[in-house]
Amino acid sequence: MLKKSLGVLKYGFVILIVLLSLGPFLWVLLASFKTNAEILSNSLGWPSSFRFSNYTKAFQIAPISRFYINSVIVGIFGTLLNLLLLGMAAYVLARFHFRGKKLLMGAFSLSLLIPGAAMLQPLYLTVNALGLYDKLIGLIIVYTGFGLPVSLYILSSYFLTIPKEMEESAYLDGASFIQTFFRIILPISKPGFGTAGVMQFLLCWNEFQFAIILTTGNQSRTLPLALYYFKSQFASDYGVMFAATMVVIIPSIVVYILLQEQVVSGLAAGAVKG
Amino acid sequence: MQKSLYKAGCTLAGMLMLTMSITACGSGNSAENNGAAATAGSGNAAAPAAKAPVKISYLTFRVGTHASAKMEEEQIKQFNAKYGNEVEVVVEEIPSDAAYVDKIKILAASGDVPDVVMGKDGINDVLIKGNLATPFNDYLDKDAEWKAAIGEDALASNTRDGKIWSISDQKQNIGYFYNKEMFDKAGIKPAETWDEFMSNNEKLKAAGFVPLALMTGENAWTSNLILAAMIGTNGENGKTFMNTLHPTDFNTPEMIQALNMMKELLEKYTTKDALGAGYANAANAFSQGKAAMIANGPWMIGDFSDPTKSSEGFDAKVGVAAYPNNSLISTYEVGYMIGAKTPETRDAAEKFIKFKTGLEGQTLALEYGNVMPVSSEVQPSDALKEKYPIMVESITVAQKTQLHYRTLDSIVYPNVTDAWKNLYPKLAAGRATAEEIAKELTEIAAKNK
Amino acid sequence: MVRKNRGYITLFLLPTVALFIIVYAVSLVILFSTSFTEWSAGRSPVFIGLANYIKLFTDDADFRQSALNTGIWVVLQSTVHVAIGTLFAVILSMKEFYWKFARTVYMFPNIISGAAVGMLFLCMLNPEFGAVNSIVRLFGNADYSQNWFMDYATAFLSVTMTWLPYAAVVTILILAEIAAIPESLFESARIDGASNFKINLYIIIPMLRNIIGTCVILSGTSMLQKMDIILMTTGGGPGNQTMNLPIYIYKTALMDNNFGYSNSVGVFLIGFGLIFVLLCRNLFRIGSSQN
Repeated sequence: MLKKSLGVLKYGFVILIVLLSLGPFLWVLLASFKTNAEILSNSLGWPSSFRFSNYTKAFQIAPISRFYINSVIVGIFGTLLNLLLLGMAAYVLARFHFRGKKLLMGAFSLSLLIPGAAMLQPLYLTVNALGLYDKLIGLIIVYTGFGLPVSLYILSSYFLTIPKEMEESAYLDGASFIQTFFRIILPISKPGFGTAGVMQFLLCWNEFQFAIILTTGNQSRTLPLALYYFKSQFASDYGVMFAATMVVIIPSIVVYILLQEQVVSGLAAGAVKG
Repeated sequence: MQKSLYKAGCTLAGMLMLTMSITACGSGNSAENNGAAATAGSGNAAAPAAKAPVKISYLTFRVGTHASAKMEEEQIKQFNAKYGNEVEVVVEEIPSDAAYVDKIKILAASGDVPDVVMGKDGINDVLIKGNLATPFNDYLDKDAEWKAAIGEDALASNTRDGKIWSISDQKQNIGYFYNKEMFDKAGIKPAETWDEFMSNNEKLKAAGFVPLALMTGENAWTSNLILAAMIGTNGENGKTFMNTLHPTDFNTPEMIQALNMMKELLEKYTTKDALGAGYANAANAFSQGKAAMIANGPWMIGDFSDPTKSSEGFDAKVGVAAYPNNSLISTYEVGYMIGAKTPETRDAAEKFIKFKTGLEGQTLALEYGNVMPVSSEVQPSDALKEKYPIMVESITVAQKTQLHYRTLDSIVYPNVTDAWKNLYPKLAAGRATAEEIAKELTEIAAKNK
Repeated sequence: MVRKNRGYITLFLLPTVALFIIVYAVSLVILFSTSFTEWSAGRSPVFIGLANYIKLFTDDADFRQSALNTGIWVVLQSTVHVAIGTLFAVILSMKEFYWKFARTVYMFPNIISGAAVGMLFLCMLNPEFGAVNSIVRLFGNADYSQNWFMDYATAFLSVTMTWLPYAAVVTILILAEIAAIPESLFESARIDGASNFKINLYIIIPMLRNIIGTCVILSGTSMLQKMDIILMTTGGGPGNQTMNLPIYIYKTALMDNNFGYSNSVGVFLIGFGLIFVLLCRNLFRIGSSQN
């Protein structure tokens, strides 16, 4: 009896979660094919026809394709750089005890807490002083830094689950510190890196406020900015706005699904540890 | 526990020290750079042989779906065709008006103001107070033609202590649009007094229509236009209030009376989503034939014949009216300022601004953006008149009005403009009386730095 | 081992320290030092001692409301949100037929940028044409028009619901960790006759201490940065019902032009967050290896 009602509760919970997650997405997807009038009069219904005019118009209004390429570059390099640097730091912080470790962790934790609005102007000054203003590399470095606390936490808590014996046997076999990290630790930490990578990629893909402050030209601007081309004062075309929203979010969903397979295959590899 | 907190504090202090020295170097460098640029600039002036076009930076939010995007594009295109070999305008597109204001403030705080700046939403105050702009007096004294094209009134509206800080690029004559079909069915015509306005609302409601497309989200634009009209038509004090820059006391009988009327409108005579609605909601409510009136300027006229925004033949149903007491909102935009630091870039910036605000630029703005020119010499072309008959109507209506006042956005501090979206729902929900809202507005204005 | 590897430890930490200095340290210096000044855009800061802080704690109703809301959201996010994510992870870890699908779909709202999510919910909950009210109307009440984001009774809850149930990040973090639990542990438990429910409760959950602690910290502190969804939906209103510290900081800096005061709020926010993080680290004994 208890078992049965637990089962009902479980499926109810799963269905509710799926509906809450999928509902808004599907609603926008449908709306992106509708005209303004349809959205306003018949918000739940099917569009009268699956016209793509909203999409073509979206591409005409904003330099979406150029921004796409930039976003892909920033997303990939911002993620790789972040995972490499933070992977190294997190490994050392999780595995070794040394003087100043606590204060370093404390300082890094601060980066979770600094309000974004307070960083706008200082970061503008810094990026400018380093000659990275209006350059993709500037955005990449800034985003690598923004992902610092999250990646650090995710990766170090993953490293903590890896048994120490693995490294010790590697050292006995004569492997160096660097070899141990790259050959032994990295491969079995795939799920951790997968998760941190997803988070970091999404950050790079979605960030708006700093992207607009730190760039001036279309050659260094990213996709979230395109979304705001449809949100000007005195703009009222919902259909195009939703189409643009879809254009921005569909790639992130695809990337997530692809990366997720990485995480999944990593999960199987994770069993090796046991 | 305490120990690690203390330790973290110590590391932080250490790191801060380290960075302090780094930033000190950084800012030292940038100051040097500025100096270098300035001397290089004056060097060039001495040797005019170098004929590379002067580069000036210009940020614009008139992109994407912005109502003036087309006009901006055309103005820049024509400027380049004419002066491209002398001045190169480096355009930075900033989608969304709010992001534009934020970025200019960040740039201003860092001493990197662009060469040409649109001074709207309080940017002019920041630049003037920070001594970051160059007034136009000398330029205008040398060019009587340009001065005439802008006109006394427009210049006066941007003059402080005798200095002309910005050149207005447009006059906003704002009344309201109404749905003639709905007005006929309700048996009413545009109101001449506020009592009639209120009884019209009642009649429209009785006929089954939503009278007004109001909104309280974003900058509460369509609602605030009506509020401005209520205050501006309320005797001599109201008129003075609505024509004074940066009011600090909102606790006036006129403001309180207007807020009470607005409360009634929000409660009874508008769409269900007006509280919290953005411009898009209000505009669609009117253009899709759901509301009978919307307060807005002529740049909206194009939407009425745009099939993606309005139903077929909607433009024929739209009429234009002035506010009660034969009055109209009439504001000169803040327009363009010179932020350039060197003589060359200043001259180049002036050239660009002169083109945008001169007769040529005004004509382009009118033809491509339905923007009212500041000069009476600029008239709509026959093609435009034919395409947008409502345009002609709105000009006629404007000419007949006798009482004029400005928009709230153009007189109050920007943080007051930002507060409406929180205050209107408070007023409508009865959580605060009109008196309390007025008091709160006064406090918010005092916060402005 | 440490002594032998000291060089490597430094080498591995150095890039991150450099990154921290480039991205955060300058901000921290400016934030702290100007919180004692009167400073507005385009002008030089003037030292005024503790005046900003005194005003903050004695005479600022909006700040008090913002701090209160931020606190409530941090607590909700680090408890309810993490619990939802953990529960879902445990259910998915049973790998029933739907698990991959459900896991992917659950991530959707987290993939989308805050601004887009805000826009989406704003339309979904629009009183006139939003999907939610339309559904209610379908079930009878034809005049139903709840203004979710602007009604005092529902605004706080509506905003909270735009992020509280969406704990996919917690779920994937915990799923990855569950996968790392040695299979042998489960087997011996099954041999002892433990039910699935008991295995979850007594074996899996305790093994997840470290990662749950991490999730609590990450989820809780994310509320110290939450801004774009709120700006897009309620703008902090009605009144100051849904105002939080990040919005208050943003408004004070960029609307009031009061950078100095805004930075003193920032210092408060950091102090508040630091206490929260240290509390969690102690509570979950994060950093200590579990074996």
